[in-house]
Amino acid sequence: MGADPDTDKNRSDVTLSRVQRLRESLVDVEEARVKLVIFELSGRHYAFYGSEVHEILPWTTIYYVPGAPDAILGVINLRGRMESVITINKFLDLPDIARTQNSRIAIATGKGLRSGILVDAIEDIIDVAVSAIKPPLATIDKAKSEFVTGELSHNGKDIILLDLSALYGKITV
Amino acid sequence: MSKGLEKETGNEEIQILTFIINGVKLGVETAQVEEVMEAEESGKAGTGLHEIMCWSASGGRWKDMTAISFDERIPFCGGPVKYASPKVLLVKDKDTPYGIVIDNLSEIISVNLNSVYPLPPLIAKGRGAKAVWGVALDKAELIMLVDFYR
Repeated sequence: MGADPDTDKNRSDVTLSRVQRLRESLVDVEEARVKLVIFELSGRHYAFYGSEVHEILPWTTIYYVPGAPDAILGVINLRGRMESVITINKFLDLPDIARTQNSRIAIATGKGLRSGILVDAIEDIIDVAVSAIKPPLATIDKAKSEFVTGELSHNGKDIILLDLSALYGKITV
Repeated sequence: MSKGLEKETGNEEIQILTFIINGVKLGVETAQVEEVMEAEESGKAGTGLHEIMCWSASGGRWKDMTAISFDERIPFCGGPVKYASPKVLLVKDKDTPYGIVIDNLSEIISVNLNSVYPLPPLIAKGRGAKAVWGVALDKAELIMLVDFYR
């Protein structure tokens, strides 16, 4: 009757675009997400799954245990519970850790074991889509690859996701 | 009934002889120590079992004692330890006829069993630290507990 052929021609395209956008937003909402704790070691960024990290402590006196492996820095008294504290720098081929005012102890569980891990700083705690975590590059150093479970990029930084069970397993061997 | 409750709440204490090696405070149950002897510099520390002249207060004389330095039995990271004020602990055991050279003998303290903790599992399951069997909490300070028989 007075229909505009151009508008009618485009109407289905417009409708299809709306359907597409709707489907994409539904996928984003349903996509699984994980929490990551990002930390720094020797200027590089690493992460653990947030579900593995119970608590983050400021630096405190670590009591050395003679005879323990080098990766074990010692023991701390955490509210009446004795917790081990380890350094993972050697496993990642990084220089020995040096204490600064930003140093933190992340209490984390892996392989059924719980320990503190000394880090240079806690960078951030983020929620990411599972799909944002990519498998580690094939070019990664073999010595470190057993401890790396994935890689991702966040705020322009490359972050290596570490396998806590593999790290703890190395110490208890 | 009250006696049973007393047993469970445990006012039981252990006596710990404490000493400091390389800045680490350590302790051994006094039940493991026969005698504490003055040690003369032998110059042979770091060579495993070695002969060292010790003053035995109970015998009132100097005598040759086969001894080993603590850090040779339980190593510290950073290499061999230099002993500033060595003493020899004569271990109370017929099958262990030697002394253990320690440093900076401190005091004997009483520690309630409620203040004694096992090592955290990550350390206890690992290699190496077997002779260190637990941790005592004394005035907010941690003391590594050593078993000379291990």
